[in-house]
Amino acid sequence: MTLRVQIRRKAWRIALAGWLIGWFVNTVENTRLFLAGLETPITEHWLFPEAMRNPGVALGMFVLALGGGAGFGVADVRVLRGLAVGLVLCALGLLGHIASYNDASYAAAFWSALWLVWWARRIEDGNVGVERHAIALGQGIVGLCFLGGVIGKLTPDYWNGEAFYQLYVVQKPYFPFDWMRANWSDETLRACSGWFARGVIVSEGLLATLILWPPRWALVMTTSAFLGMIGLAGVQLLSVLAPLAGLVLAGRYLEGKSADGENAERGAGK
Amino acid sequence: MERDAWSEKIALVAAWRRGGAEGRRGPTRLFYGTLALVSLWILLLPLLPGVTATVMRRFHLTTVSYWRWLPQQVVPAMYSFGNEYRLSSEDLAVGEAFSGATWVNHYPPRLFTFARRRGLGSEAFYLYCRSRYRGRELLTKTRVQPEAGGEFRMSLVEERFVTPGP
Repeated sequence: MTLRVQIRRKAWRIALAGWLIGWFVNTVENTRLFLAGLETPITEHWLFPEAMRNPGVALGMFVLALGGGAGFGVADVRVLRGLAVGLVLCALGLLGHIASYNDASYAAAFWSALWLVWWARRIEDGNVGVERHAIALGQGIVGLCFLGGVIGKLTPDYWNGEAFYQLYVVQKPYFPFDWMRANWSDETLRACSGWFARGVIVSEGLLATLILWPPRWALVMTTSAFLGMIGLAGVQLLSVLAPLAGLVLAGRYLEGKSADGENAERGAGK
Repeated sequence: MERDAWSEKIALVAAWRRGGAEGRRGPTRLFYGTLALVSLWILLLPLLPGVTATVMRRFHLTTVSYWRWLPQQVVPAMYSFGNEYRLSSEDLAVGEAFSGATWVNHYPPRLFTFARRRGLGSEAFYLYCRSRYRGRELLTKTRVQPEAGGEFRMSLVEERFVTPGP
């Protein structure tokens, strides 16, 4: 196995690790709700077909996807590709299920798994420079996820802070929101919500352009933004962010190691 | 020369200039094309009322068919629109149901479809949902009928769009 193939395989595994961390966090978070859903199923709904109302189907896809961990022990790229196709289908299945359609984690998981399918095919490819596309596509996916968020927030409810005031300041029972409620006036809370909301919109707008940034900067931007988001919304947000972080880390790794792989192959060719 | 070296650090420019023949291959072009198409759809959200209505219907689960709704689900939409919901035993006009409603980050019906449903009693009740985006609103009213054995039946009673006046 050439050094280049080893580097590409490791990048694939970095992205897979991010994907699985996100899925695992989601499993821990949601399995209780799925099990509760088994006791109180929605048996009639105008949109969802019968299979997509069955909580057992969602639970099955949920558990099945954890089998993607086999990707760490398999060398055959056809198997890796097959595993990644399975991850795409599990994410799509849960995006289409009545018990889980609302969870942004599965949209991030879907796109990240699509990258894994595409990259698995290229691990043993002799094409020089394919790493550049892996980096750009990975950053493009992260940018797409934030583009969806920022465009959906370009409305007065977000820009004036009302949505953040209601969703965080009023509803969140943990620090810093409980402390803010106890110590600040309603007027101050609303003013802060407005500035916070506008800050979020600008930050998400910046992240939406990630495909236009060097991988090193992309890593700095996503790391700082993700840490801030986890600090505010909690560790469960890793279910959305970990698959995206996996893509950015894989890209940065490929950028750092690509020269090594190319030099080794030139040396071997002499 | 220096400008070239700097610009080639940009991920997309580096892929374009140094990505070799891969960028012309079908699957890679398709991947870029899909990302571009989905991005365009997102960018049209504030510009075309038809796109806004389509995405609002996606959020309220009122798209005309499941197979038209499902492909939209891969379009990221974290924390989009101003969304509210209210569960009530009262059969209210949909426009008058949102006093004391609770805000939700996205997909307002999720507060019933995703949440714990135990202990909601045996009488029928209503789920009222509202989404707002740049002056447009979608209001929906759903009747929920609890059944013996802990099951629930949901039926759409009303869907109403409110668009800005002239």
